Amino acid sequence: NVKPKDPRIITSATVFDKPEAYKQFLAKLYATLSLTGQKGESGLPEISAPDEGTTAFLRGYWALQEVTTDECINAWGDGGLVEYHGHAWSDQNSYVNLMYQRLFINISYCNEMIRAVNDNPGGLSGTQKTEIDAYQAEARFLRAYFYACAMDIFGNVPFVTEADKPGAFLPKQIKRADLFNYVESELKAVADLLPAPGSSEYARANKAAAWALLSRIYLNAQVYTGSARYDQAITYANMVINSGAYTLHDNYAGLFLADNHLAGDEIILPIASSGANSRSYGDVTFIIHAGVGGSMDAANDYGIASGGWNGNRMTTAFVDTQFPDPSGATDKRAIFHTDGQTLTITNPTIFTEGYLCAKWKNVTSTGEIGGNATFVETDFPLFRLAEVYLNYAEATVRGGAGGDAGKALQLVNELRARAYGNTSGNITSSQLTLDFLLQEKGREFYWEAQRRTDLIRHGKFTGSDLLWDFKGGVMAGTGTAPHFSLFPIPASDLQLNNNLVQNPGY
Amino acid sequence: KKDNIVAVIKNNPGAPAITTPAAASTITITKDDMDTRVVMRWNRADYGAKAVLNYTVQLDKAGNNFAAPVTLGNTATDSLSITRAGLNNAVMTSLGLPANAESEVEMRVTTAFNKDTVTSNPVKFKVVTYKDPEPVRLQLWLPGAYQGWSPPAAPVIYNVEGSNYEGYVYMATAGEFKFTSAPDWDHINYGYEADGKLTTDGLKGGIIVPSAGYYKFNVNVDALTYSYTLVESFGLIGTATPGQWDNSTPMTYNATTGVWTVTTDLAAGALKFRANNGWDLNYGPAVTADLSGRLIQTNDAINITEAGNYTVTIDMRQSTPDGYTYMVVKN
Amino acid sequence: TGRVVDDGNLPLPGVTISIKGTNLSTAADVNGYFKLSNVPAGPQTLVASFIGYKNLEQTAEAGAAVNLQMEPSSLALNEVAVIGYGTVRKSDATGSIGVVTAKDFNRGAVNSLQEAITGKLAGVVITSNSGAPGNASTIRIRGGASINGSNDPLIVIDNVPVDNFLMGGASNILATINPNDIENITVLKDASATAIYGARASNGVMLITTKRGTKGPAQINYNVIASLSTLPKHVDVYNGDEFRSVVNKVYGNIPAVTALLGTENTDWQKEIYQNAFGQDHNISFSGSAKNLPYRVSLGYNNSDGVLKTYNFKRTTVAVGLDPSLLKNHLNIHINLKGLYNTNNFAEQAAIGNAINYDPTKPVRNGNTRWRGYTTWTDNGNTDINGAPVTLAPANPVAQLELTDNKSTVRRSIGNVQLDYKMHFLPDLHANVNLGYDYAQSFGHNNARDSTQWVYIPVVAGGRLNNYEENKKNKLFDFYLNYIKDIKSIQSRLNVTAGYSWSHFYNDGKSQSSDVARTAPQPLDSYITEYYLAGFFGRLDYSFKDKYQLTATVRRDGTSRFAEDRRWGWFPAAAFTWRLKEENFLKNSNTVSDLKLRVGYGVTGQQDLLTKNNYPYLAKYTISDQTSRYQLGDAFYNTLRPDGYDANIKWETTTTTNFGLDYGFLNGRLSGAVDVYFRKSKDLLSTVPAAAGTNFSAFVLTNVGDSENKGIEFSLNAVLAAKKDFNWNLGYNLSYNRTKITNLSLNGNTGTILQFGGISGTFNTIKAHVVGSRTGSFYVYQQIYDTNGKPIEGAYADRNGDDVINSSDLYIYQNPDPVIQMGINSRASYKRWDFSFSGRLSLGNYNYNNVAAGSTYRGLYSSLGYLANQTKAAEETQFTTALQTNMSDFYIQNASFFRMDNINIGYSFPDVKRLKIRVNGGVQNVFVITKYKGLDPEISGGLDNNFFPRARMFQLGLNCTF
Ligand SMILES: [Ca+2]
Ligand SMILES: [Ca+2]
Repeated sequence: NVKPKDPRIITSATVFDKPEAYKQFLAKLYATLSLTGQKGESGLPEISAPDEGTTAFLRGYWALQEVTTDECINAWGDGGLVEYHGHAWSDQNSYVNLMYQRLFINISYCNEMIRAVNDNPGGLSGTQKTEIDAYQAEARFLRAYFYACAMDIFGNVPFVTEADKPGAFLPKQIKRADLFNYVESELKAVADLLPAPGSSEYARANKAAAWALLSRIYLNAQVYTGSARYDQAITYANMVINSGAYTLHDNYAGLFLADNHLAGDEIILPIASSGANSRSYGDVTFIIHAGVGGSMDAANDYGIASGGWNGNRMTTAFVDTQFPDPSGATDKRAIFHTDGQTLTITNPTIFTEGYLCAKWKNVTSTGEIGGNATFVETDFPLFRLAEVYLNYAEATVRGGAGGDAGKALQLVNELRARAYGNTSGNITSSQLTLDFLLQEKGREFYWEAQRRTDLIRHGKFTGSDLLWDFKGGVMAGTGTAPHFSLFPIPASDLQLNNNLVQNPGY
Repeated sequence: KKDNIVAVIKNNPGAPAITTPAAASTITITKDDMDTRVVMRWNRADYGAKAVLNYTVQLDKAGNNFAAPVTLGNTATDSLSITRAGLNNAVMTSLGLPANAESEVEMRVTTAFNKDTVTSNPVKFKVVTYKDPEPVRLQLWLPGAYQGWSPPAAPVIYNVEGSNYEGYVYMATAGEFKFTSAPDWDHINYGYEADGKLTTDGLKGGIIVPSAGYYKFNVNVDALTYSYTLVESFGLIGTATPGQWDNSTPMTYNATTGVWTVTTDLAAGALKFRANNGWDLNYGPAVTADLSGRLIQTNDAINITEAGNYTVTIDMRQSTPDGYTYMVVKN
Repeated sequence: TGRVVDDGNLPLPGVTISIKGTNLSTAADVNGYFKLSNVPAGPQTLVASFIGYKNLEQTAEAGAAVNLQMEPSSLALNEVAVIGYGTVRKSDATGSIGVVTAKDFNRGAVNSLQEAITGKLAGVVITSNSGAPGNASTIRIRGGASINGSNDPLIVIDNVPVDNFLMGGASNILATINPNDIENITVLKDASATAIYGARASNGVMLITTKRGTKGPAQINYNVIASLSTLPKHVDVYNGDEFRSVVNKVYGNIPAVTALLGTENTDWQKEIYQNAFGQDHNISFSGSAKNLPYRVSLGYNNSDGVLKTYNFKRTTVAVGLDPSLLKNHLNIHINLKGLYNTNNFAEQAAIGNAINYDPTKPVRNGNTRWRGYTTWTDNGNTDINGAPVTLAPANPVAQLELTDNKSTVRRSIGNVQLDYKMHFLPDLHANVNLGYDYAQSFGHNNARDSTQWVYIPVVAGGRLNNYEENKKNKLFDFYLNYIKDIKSIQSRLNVTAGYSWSHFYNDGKSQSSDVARTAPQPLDSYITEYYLAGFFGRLDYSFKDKYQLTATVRRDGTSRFAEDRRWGWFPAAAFTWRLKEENFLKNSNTVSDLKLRVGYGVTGQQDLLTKNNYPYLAKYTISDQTSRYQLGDAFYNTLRPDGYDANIKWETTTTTNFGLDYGFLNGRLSGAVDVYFRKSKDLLSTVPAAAGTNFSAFVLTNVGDSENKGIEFSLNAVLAAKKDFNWNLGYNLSYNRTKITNLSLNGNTGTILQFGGISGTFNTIKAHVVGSRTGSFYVYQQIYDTNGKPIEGAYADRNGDDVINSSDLYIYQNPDPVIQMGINSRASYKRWDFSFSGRLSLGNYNYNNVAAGSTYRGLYSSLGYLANQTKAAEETQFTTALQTNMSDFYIQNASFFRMDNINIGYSFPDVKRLKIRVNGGVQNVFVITKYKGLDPEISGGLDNNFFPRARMFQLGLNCTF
């Protein structure tokens, strides 16, 4: 028997002899939201791909939620992304495959952490035991989050829990509605175990994160299960709002800057970024680089001296519909770079066509540039209070029990007042319609990886109710087939796992 | 030349051939089947290689030789389905063919691949269109002494919701008037029953306004109630106006043009309208950023972004479907 | 003392040597050495006798070293085959074996050993990976069976199996050996021959034997070759004028684009390539010091590359000592090889950038920010001192001149082999072999600051990169060998049984930072090791010299697998029937040899081609300092469970081989035909793990089966054998096809493993697909117009769903040749000699990535730069469509005939003991091909800015005295 000599390699037999290993494992679970492996931006990945950055959760999830919608079109001509934007992907699409692999790797890690805590708490002091039990609750929260994503993206997926030891078995497939029940019950269970809202360490989940996620899945329950749960969406939105731990950050733009860790008043759970310590081409680094180009001053205005990647920008349809005044003079959330850009996109691969999104920057609110020329400091708000507000409003408009129309209007107007700088943008109750709320969600959350889910909930993702440039692969946009509302189980896993049945249409 | 050229297009590609609708068939559109779909089918064009093609389906009046066709849609497949509503609209609106009538149209399918365009033979068929009768906007006429008791020449107020009617009318003299359901005396005319109550007994007398002036009337023809408010003036209010939120800047009614207007200096800020220097009757914009548009009852104000001298006009006659409207013009 | 060799200078073990008129006699050991003691003084007559050879008598002074060269009694029995853990008479060899001796080496192949035998052996395909001096080669014996396991053959040098894993900075194991030191190379091809090497033998075995000292007068040999390398062909790109005209044609209405054009006509390829000189010196001393045969050689090679700044220097030393002790009962062989190699690798990205760099720009434009080298700057290139467009092509001249990429490799391979002939039972030998293979490489790959192409971690901050790697491999072999002629039953028995142990250790580290060290990257380091152990046995039984049976069995264990999976059995058996010895052929002159061979064997594979030598262990990996995660105010190194397969086990290959060795016309025509069929199962493959079941998305496991079949044919013809005129011709042909028969655990046939990245984040061009050849191209099917011109962006909708997406990709052609032929010839007339060798490769296809990357669309990038294109852009004129590089249009037939070398020599009349030969030759003389890229011969078939193979003119001088 040969024991590895490399001190960085630790066998399972001894790994938890040191209690601090549990926290390092917990750090890994959070790190899987944005990092790709154990060696900076490349070198020891858990998922192999020609470009390691594409294996990151955030990059994959962002592309899947944004490039498939009216919020983003990509210029690289990369086959996978062209299929995304045109609603033409197949079960061979590499991006889909990587997203799927990433979700289930992350779930496997969570399962292992849960097992590790169950199996191995011997020799720990009382406080250590309490501590690692708390880690286990967070592992369950993260697993529920990844399963919620899997439910949203793929619907019916393989189902593995801590009861399934790693090895050569073939997981059973769970139905989307059953998965909903599982995610719901897990989140409710861990919500009791997690620390109080606002009391957790930075970038760690607390009760409010679980409530925010519950509110999100209840809002979409009609899509996931066939029956609406708007009343619970309201209940859990209320729990976040009434906790008093969060308020809207005074400055919208500040939520997306290199010092947005200071926006903890609004951000319930961020994905932390650090140019020096957490290098990845798949965290906000990707969002910023991929969106910078043209006449943007990459080094000074966006904090990335190594340059933009000339990839992503807004569709014409999105800007026209959401921001009749794209200058930002009226609605300050219109943070676009228009200099040298045409609004109209006639050729998706010409980066100077289409307005550029200038919302994300590796520059602080005081104008200082992030420490690394490539890897940014800017954190990604996975949950922030504004979403909870809009969840409340939409669930109320959709008739959820317990919703107060006046409060819904007031919450929306709080967002609009922040956006306009005064009450001039406030709306009346008659304007608080579903169409308005979808547009408002777009204005408030564009490029925050929410759009695809929102469009599906509003019935506007596929079909021809809402068209955008190059939807369906044609310039004017055309209706697309309804089966694209779910992504396919990648062909590679279908071939491996006989228990899986492909989603309809693929 | 390459040795693996297997997918080569033909010199004379085969055109698509329409199979549905059949020639001389008739598609009848009715009120109830607007959402159902009509499927057009054809046999694919043959370019000799399995290329993905984009078919364009066009429709024109029969015999027009596709001089002014309407495109029903594009597809890569061998069929196109459109709602009957869509077809109906294409035939009536785009081709200008008559409503509620049978017309002959012809359809063709075109596709192009690598500079070679092929077009199917046209197929003629008939479409029976459907159009709802024009919705009638319910009105009440206000003939009276102030205008010589002539219903056809009388000003009107409009139905707003259910059996409620609302509107502003300028009466140049005090005196009696009635509400009539048509611009004649042959239909229902509503007279005075009691204060605030109407009667349909045509023989009863009219309602009396105590003075000449600009009135707002509200009527419910089911409950047989009415009310009126004298508007002594409309005025500007808000942070854009000299009186801020406290005092209205009065506007003037022009009996000839029928609108209220004022020319005044405005600051950047909010602008709304109210009657009688009070808040009982106040109106704001449907879209705050717009300098002209609909007036509605709202908390919003028009956003005046530039200070300057403006002419502000409001039109409360509801003579267009927009209802009450405003216009703010910088001089 | 002395040594017995055959006419090919191969040792003849087992030869009986006696002194006429005495009863003194002995037998030669496995390396042909013998020693007689108590010889009476004065001249004596030695008699050597051996089955299959003519008896030889030679007179020598007692005590003098004698070299006995025996001639075969009939051609068929003339050779000894080196087979691993000993030798057998070639007549007894039962497996498929190919031998190239030094005299058959391609003349002038001075830079690497593999060039010396390219094209010489049926079924052995050697492809140099680039045109750089001292470059690596890919060697495939009968194709490769593995998907993710190694497909490299096992290389054994003087009985020491060496590690063929490329080291950081070292170019190639075979390039580190001086070809002048090699006596012969034996290739074991089928499993009945290789199974004695069990675990490492699935891809065939190359046994390399170095030259030895001989008894007799000391001999000095000096060999020098001077060479001049030139580039036979440049990539056809637009020149400055053409570029201006095509940019104006395509972008004429966009002033922002045309404003980027310059006024020069720079031929960037001319700027980066040169005619390169090389020199190669070898001197060897051999003979016998007292009774100690020795050979010492020194080699020095210094070659420049055709790419400017590229340089390869190699100094080698080899010492071979063969003492005999204990009255010749103990024969010792000591080998020591040393290597000192330095490389200047040059920045090879310059090759691609020389194609893409705007030809209208000068090499230097006088800027002050970019060290004067013309550099693309932002804002429309308006300020020559502006910020860089970091993703634009880099100035290739700057890349060559500002990069410092040097490595040093030190390597030593040595062994001591003790062969003890039992005093009580001389037929029984005990053999101990202790060997080592230590190597160290270190180097740096630095770039100056103020360079546009190095921008991480500090933009334009340059790069300091240092690396180091160490390998320490140790070997211990022990075996007993018993050889007995049992005349009474006309049988001969040769039995071997032994044990082998080896340890492989490897560590390395590297570190990078910017030049000012403001942002050093974390140290990257690793340590890894594994062990192999095996028991083996072999029985050779020969009856009447007509029938031979060989049975081998080996049981191997590897530390790479879990305890219960660790050991594998690798049995083999072979049978031969020498028809020539049958009565009906015995006296035939027409048929001088005829032998039928049938072999069957199982071999194993555990070489994982990764540094992870613990694939079965549940491990955790702690992250480095740049993949930490923030929780609260602190950053934590993260701890990750790693993917593993606890049940990983041997990949096995079963080979069946039918062979026929033939000789006609008294041996003037001879050769062999082999037909083989191989089945590999439990392929070590990195495949996706079923989602949710493991800790990595892909896991190395045993999945999949493949089938490999082939035919090999070889012919050697003596066309003339006269006193003044000799002419030999060699020809070989091989046909080989490997097909994947399964890729999944549950028999699903749809599994597709895509690989072979080209430009674009996810564009891969190759795939393994069940039912197709391994590593075939996986592409869209181009649609052409009636003139045969590809229609831009038009691909066949192969599954008929009216959408072109990744489901329409299909398998089209394969990079591996279906048929390979080698032809070589040697002629001598009086003092002149002439030789050539060439190869024909048929059915191999390349993906022409250089052409695929060339479109009108590529002329201008919205990042604000222009890029030159090859003239392939003119052929397609693609302007907008995406992914045109995934079209089968760029899969091009790369069948070729290459004349590898032509050499002519003249030997001067001997002046006393001084022999002088001069020669001149050309390497890589010409290539005939339809392929449109620079060179059709690309291992793996992905032609992407290949370091071009040079044509080399050589002059050589060889002196012996
Ligand atoms: Ca941060
Ligand atoms: Ca298809």
